[in-house]
Amino acid sequence: MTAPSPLPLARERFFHGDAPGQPCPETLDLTGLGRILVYGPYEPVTPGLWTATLRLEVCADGATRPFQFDVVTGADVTETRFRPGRPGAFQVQARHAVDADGLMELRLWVMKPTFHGELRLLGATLERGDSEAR
Amino acid sequence: MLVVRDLAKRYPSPRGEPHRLFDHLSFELERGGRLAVLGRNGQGKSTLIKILGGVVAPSAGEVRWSMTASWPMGFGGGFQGGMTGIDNIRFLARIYGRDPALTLARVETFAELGVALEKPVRFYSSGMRARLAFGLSLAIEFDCYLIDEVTAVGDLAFIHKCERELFERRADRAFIIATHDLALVRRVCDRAIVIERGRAKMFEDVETAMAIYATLCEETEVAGREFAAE
Repeated sequence: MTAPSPLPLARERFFHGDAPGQPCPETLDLTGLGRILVYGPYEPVTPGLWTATLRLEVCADGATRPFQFDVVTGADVTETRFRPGRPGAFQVQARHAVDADGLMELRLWVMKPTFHGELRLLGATLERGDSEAR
Repeated sequence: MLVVRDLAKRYPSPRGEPHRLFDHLSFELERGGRLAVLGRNGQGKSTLIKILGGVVAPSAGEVRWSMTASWPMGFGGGFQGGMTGIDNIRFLARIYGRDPALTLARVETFAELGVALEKPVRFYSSGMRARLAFGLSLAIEFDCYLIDEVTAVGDLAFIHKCERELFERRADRAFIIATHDLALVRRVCDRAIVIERGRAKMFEDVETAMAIYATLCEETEVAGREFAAE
């Protein structure tokens, strides 16, 4: 039996934290207070272990900022903190246990007030099971 | 009204690339507007105030005033050092078309310099020069005051007196204030520019600007401690 392939989630399915309800723009301006930059896509999920991956790109100023990736179903939140450290594309992954059928939300935060920087959400995937364990 | 368009300031650097203080800074300020200029030491706050006051030339861009503006208060560089405080007051009163005797009386009352006003300004300390500059700016009356650190003028009582005169008695005027005093910014300003590593950004929300400025200071301090520990 083959493992299910990851479910791709295009940037267009996410929303812009600075303009709630509006689609996520290609480039996000990090300037401002610590806040949610991107949220969505409210994908239906079934019980089990899920792996969520965000593919991101940051500029040199953005690479120094602290971020947090949240995976949310119902009241359950898995928080993953990270700091890119260097400019360019990279990915961040989180494993999240789902207890009941529901909608999954992914959130990306910039955690501190930021003077300057840009970030791009290149895409995301959802995968049933523990992708790192396979 | 003050209109600033695409303002830039760069200094030549021995390493070749010019040292950029800021680029493409544009904003407008109406009479009654209160603008703070925030930034860590050496980022260009005072230079921006001096450019707006016509003391330093910009590298690019334009500054267009259609209201009267003070010289940078706290900056005592505009006085003629060989002339006494009294003669400087009379001289500047005439340049600005004010009554010299009345201007002198107002500066004497405000600046609390006493007999020092009879001495040449070159013998003044920087605090005394700042008091003279403050007193003159208030006596001449401007639509917009350019302020580079109110705290440069001396003791706490005198600072409070300056703040009362500026922000309470002249509440209808415009102010541009370069300062590290966040309590003052919170109390009197409605917008802020933050200058950092070659960039200047305007923030319509003062609390956001202050939080960003405080984070920049905190991160610089942490980096400094880490560097010292290595």
